[in-house]
Amino acid sequence: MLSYILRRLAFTIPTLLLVAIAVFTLVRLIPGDPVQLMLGDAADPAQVTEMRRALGLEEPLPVQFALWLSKVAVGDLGNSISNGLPVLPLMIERFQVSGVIVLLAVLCAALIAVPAGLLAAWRQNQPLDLAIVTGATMLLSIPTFWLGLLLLLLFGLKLGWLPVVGYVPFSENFGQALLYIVLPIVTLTMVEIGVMTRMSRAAAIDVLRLDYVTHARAKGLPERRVLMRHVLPNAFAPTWTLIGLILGNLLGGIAVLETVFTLPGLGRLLVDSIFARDYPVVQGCLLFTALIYVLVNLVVDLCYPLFDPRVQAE
Amino acid sequence: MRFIAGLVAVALAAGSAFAQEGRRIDALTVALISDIRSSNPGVNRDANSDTVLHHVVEGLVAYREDLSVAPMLAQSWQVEDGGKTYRFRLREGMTFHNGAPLTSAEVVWSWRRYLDPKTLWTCIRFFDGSQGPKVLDVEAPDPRTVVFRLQEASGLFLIAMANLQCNAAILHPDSLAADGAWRAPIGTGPYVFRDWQRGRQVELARFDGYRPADGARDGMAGAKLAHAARLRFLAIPDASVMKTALLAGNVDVVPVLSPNDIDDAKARGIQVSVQSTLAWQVMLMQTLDPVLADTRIRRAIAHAVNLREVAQSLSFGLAGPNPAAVPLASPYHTDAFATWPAHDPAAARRLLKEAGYAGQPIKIQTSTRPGGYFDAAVMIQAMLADVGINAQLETLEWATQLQNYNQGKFQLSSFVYSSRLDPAFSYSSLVGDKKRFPFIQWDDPESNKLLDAAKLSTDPAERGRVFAELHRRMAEAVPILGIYNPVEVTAAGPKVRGYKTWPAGNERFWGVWKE
Repeated sequence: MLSYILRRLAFTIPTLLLVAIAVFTLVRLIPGDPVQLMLGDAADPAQVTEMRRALGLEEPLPVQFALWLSKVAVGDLGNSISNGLPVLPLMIERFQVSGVIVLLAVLCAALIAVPAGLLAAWRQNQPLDLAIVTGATMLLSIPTFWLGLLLLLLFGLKLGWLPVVGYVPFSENFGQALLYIVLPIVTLTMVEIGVMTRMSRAAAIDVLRLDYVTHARAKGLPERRVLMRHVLPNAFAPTWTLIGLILGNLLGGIAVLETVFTLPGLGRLLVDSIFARDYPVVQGCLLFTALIYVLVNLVVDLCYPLFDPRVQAE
Repeated sequence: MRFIAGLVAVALAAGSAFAQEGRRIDALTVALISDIRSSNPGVNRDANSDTVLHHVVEGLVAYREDLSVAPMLAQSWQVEDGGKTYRFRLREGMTFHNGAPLTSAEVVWSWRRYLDPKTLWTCIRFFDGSQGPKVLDVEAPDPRTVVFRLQEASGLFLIAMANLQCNAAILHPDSLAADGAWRAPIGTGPYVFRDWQRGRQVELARFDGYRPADGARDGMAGAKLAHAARLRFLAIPDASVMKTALLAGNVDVVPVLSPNDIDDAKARGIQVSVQSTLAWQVMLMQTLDPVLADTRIRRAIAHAVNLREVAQSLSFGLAGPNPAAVPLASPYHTDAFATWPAHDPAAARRLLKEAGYAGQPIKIQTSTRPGGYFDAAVMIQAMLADVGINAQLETLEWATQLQNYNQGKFQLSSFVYSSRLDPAFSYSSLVGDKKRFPFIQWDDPESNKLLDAAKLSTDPAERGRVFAELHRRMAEAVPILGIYNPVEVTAAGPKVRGYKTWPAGNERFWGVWKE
C-alpha cells in the first residue's frame, strides 16, 4: 500500500511540471501587462519599464521560467506583483476559507443526497421518487449565484437572521464564524445535492436489479436491511468517485460563491489575479489546484477498496 | 461689553464641543469594491487604497472642494526665486500616530524617499523633469521650515503635490522596517491604520492626538473631525450584494449604486448622492490610421454622433455631454468648452463624400468593463452606421484594451480617462509626441506649445485662456471624441449624517456620523 502511495505521489511530479509549463506559457500568451494595469491610463512609459525591471518582467521568458521553477522546487512560489506578498502563505490563507466551506458543504450534501438517491431508487417511478428527482433536477438547474443572492435576501435582508457581508475565521470567533459561513455552506450544499442525488439514485437502481438483492429479499430480509447492508455499500462506490471529482473541482475555487458572500477565498484570489495579470499568483493558484486535484483523487482511490472489496489499491 | 462677548464666545465654543461630542459614534462601516492594494501611499495604489489612506496620512498641501490647492500640514508657503523655490512653514503641534512631533526632518525624509526611483512612487514623473518640474533638492533649514528647490518654475508643482493619486504623504521613518521594507503607514491623519485582513477588511481607529486644521471640511483640506471611533472598510466586489448589505444595515455607505436602483433605494430611506466626476468618457481616434488621418473623416464622425443622447443614455439621464478635456466640475470650465461640431448627419455624409470614404471598415475597440465602455461603443456604432460608416465592434478583455491604448493599437476605442484634477494633466494625456508616447492622441506642434505654456503658468486666468484655445483647436481637428463626465452614484444609510461627495470622487469619512 505504501509503495502504491509513493508511486502515485511520484507520478504527480511530471504532472505538476507539465501543469507548470502550460500555466506559465498560457498566462503570458494572454495580452495585457500587469504593470500597465497597476499604473492605469496615466502611466508613463519610462515608469512602466522601470517597474517591469524591478519586478523581473523585463527578463527573457525562459529566464523568468527557470527562475520561477527553481524557486518552486524549494517551495517558494514567488511574490504577488499586485501587493508584493509571498504567494504561498497568501494561497494557504485563502484556501483555508474555501476549504472549510467546500468540505462541510460536500459532507452535508453527501449525507442528504446518498440516502435520498437510495430512497428514490427503492421507490422508483413512485411519488417519492418523482418528488426527489424533481427536487434534485431543480437544484441542479439553479445557478449558484442566484440561489446565493436569494438566500441572502431572505435570511439577511428580509428576516435579518444572518449577516449579509463579511467573514470571520473560526480561529477568531467560533460562533461568529458559523454565522458567516452558514449561507455559503447551505447554498453549495443545495447545488451539489442535485448531482449527487442523481448519481446515487442511478447507482442504486442498477444494484437493486442484481440477483443478490433479489436473493436477499427471497431470504426474507427486511427491506431496511436489504438496502443498508446490500444495496448502499455497492451503490456508494460510483457516488464516492463523483464526490472526489466534486471535491477536487470545488477546492480549486468557488469564485462565484465567494463573490456573492464576500468570502476571501482561493477562487476570488485566482479570478482577481487573472484580471490583474498577477502572474506569480495565477501560476501558484493553478499549480496548487492541480496538486489538490491529484491528492484528492489519490485519497478517493485509496478509499475505494473500503466500499468495493473487488478493487485492490495495489 | 468685552465680558459679554467673552461669555458668548465661551458659550458658542461649549455648544460646538457639545455638538461634536454628541456626534461621536463607535463605528462606521463602508463598502469598497475591492480590497486595497497596499498600505504604502502613492507607491502601490488604486482608488480604494487612496480612499482608505487619505484618512491616515496627509501631505503638505491638499485639494479644496473647488479643486484649488490649500495648505494641509503646511501652515503657509512662499514662492521665491521666480518660482524656482518653494518655502513651506509647517503647522505647529502636529504629531505622528506614534507620538513623535512632525518636523521638517520627516518632510525631507519623506520627499527624498519619494524622489528616489527605487521607491517606485507612481508620481515621480511629475517631479523628475519628465512631466513636470525637476526637484533639485529638499532642505530643512529649521524644524518648521522646508524648502523645495526646482530646476525651473512650474505652475504644476503644487497641483501635483496635492494630487490625490500621488498621495505625497508625510510619513514617519518608522513606517519602514530597518531593512527599508514597507511596514505600515505612520502618518498624521485623523485615523490610525490599525488592522488589515487581506481580502476582507481594513480597520482604522480614531487618532485622539489629532489636531484638526482651521476652517470647515473642504475637499481634502480643512478640519477633519473623526466622529467615528472606528472606520471599517469592507471589500464587497458585487454591486447587488453591496446594495443588499446597505439595506440590511450591515454597511453604512456604498460607493456604487446603479442608477436603476436610485428610486427603490430612496423609497427605503437610503440617501443617494449623484456627483459629476472628473473622469472623461471618450471615443479615442487613432490619427495615424490611414482612414482616420483625414480630418474630414474625423469631423464626419463628430457630426454623426449625438453626444447628448449618448451621455444621457449612459448616465440614465443624470448627465449631459462634455466634449472637452476640461471637466464640467473644473473651475476652468466655461461655455467656451461646449464648442464642438454639432450633431448633423447630413454634414457627416457630405464630409465623408468629400473625403472619398468608400466604406472601409473602422473597428471600435471596447470591453465589457463596468463604466459604459460597451454601451457607448454600441450606440456610437449605430450612429456611425446611420451616416454610412462601416463601424465594427471588437470586444476585448480590459487588460488587452488597455495595452492597445498604451501602444496606440486601435482605430477607434471606447475609453474612460480616470480623474485628472487639473486640465493640464488631462491635456498631457492627449497632446504631445505620438512617436515617443503612442497613447497620445494628437501630435500638433502648436498645441504642444500651448500645453507647455499651461504647465508653466501659475495665473488661473492665463491658464484658462490657454485651455480654451487648446479646446478650440481640438474642436476643429477632432483628434478625439469626448462624450461626457460620468456621474458617481453613492448611497448612505438612513441614519448617516454629514456624508458628502465631491468632484474628485475620493470619499471622506471625517465629519460623518450616525444618528
